[in-house]
Amino acid sequence: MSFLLAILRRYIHVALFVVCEIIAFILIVNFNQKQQDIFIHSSALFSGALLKKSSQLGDYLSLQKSNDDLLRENARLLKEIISMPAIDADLADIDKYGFEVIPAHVINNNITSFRNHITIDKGSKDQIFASMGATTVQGVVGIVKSSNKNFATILSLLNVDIRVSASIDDGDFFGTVTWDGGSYDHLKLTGIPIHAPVKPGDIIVTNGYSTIFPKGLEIGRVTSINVDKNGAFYDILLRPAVDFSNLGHVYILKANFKDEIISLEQDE
Amino acid sequence: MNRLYTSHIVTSVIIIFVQILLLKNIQIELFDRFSMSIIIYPAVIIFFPVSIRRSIIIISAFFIGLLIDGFYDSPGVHTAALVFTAFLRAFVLRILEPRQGYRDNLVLAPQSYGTSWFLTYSGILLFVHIFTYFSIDAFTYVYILKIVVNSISSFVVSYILLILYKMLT
Repeated sequence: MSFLLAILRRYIHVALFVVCEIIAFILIVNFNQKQQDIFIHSSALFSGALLKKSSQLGDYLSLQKSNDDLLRENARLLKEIISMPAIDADLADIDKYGFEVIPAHVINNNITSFRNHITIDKGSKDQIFASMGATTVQGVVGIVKSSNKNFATILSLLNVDIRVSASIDDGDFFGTVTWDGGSYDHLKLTGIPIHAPVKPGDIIVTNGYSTIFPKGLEIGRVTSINVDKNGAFYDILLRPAVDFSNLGHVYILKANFKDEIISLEQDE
Repeated sequence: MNRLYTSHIVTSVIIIFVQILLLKNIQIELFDRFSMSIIIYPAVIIFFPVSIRRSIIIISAFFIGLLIDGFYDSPGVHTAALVFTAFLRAFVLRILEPRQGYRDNLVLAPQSYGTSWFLTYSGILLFVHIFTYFSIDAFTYVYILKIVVNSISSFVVSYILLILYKMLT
């Protein structure tokens, strides 16, 4: 016992040093914007290359499934082209208000913390910048938080900081989708008034009120409906359309004329 | 003995005040890319009397660092660097130990163990502190050139100021 005490006395300053440094670094990372950003993107800065290699291996193993997905997507696009009326004259308009789609591979993905991020292998070099939407064929994934030259970080829908404005499919009522940090099977939709017609199984989609997402991208399906404590709005639980535990690639949505829309809104 | 501690506490308070009220505002741009700042508050840790226990020095470094960070509006950055400097102090003292050893009741000043000893000792610790500070400030070695240039330029000016101050007192 006295031996242990002697060791403790001898090395107490080392322990103190470690504790003080840990506290200092927690302060740094939590309260300094610059250092916090670098810390969060460290996966992109330092281990990006390694993560990319390991994800390439993963891609190879899931090649069959990716192929199936791509086939399905092709089929769906083909169907849309066929069912589209001839609108040659309006094509220019569609391009003007439309979105460009940039495909990217997921190289790091996290679903276990309160603030989950996804790292992708494309960045500002491929015109990916902050506040662009990210989606898959199934539905909305998140919003780009920041990007450096070769990589970008996406704020996943499973992040307590994210807010996505959404509406019930084919309805005018709109609310906000958030995540409470609980199960990754449940997103929360708030702000839908109780006179709105909602039933389990309804599809919740983006409403296109921002330049991040176009109208009509699926976010999830209603699983349960409760009235909130004030009695004026519903508390709706959604099952996300995307399986966040199994993300291979995402599509980044780049709004055309985004700057013009934003500067117009700021003028008002 | 007691007089030694009180005088160290008084000079420490003065140094910290000079740092946060005066030197904090001096920041000189070099070649548009680099910036030089004057950092002398590590003197408080560097010139702690030798007889004080290492744990006390580390705890003091932590709180002094927090105080400085409070004024620099950079929670933790100065603290982390100063705690690291305080931790290294024991090693530097051991490496530079004079043949006759340290005497308990002496301040760490040029007159105590010789001018060259003093210059080496304070130079090593001040540079360690400034380099650590700029590294933590940048938080990545991607900007290593900037860290090195900032550190060296800031070190030179701060070091001269520190020596002048110690020579005069």
